[in-house]
Amino acid sequence: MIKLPEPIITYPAILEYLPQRPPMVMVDSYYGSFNDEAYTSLYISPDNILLENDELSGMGMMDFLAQSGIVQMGNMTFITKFSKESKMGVICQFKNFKFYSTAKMGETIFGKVKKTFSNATMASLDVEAFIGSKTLLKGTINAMIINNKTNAD
Amino acid sequence: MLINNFFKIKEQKFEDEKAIFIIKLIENHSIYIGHFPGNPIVPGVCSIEIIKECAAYYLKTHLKYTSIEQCKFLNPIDPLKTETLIVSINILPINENEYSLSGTIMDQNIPFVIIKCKTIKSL
Repeated sequence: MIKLPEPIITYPAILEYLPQRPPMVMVDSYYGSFNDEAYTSLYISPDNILLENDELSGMGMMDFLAQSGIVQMGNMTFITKFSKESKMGVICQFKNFKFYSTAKMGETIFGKVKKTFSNATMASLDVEAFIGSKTLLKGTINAMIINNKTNAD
Repeated sequence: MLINNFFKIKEQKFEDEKAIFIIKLIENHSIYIGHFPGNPIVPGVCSIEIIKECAAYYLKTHLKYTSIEQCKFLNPIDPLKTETLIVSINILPINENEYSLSGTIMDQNIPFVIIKCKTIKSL
């Protein structure tokens, strides 16, 4: 397991890379990319809207990985920022996801994102959520860029 | 749990291992404050959860996912434009505790989500 440095982007600066806004922001730190793998994390706060029985729900973990992928595909948000024609990265497919374990309120979960394919309009990402050496959830996400009006900025 | 909070079941029909639900989205749920500001869209993960919770409702138990072989998001769901959704799920028991689910979410004309996954009973 890689020893991560201090994050290079944290909340609220990370909002520049996401169309989501609170209470649906599910990633709060970005550590950069090492050997083609990018890392993110989320502190599971007591007010997380996707908590269930004091654990981050399955949908919370999936959204953490989806948003981790979107942060890694950050060039999408540069398009959002500089183009009048607003664009947004959207997840179009989850594939081969396996659920291994869960994370509790008060824990910090980490995300690993490896881009396996990308072009101007879409990307395929292998993603994994983990704490230490324990894998929580892993799978593949396919995402694309669409035109979409949003007031996120 | 999203049932009775994020969505409500209006009608249900069960045929062998197929369950069909007509659901209504609750359009002022706080999730839409952030997803997305001024442009509410049902989060993809909430669509996945809706299918699981409808299956659990049919089975009268709680379920959690063990795997999602494939889930395709074909069109975004706008809760302001889409009053009701049709959730169709084929529920196939694998053993006493595990179920294979194949489900779709659509309205009268538009398919939104297709999923194939496995679930297990949870406490």
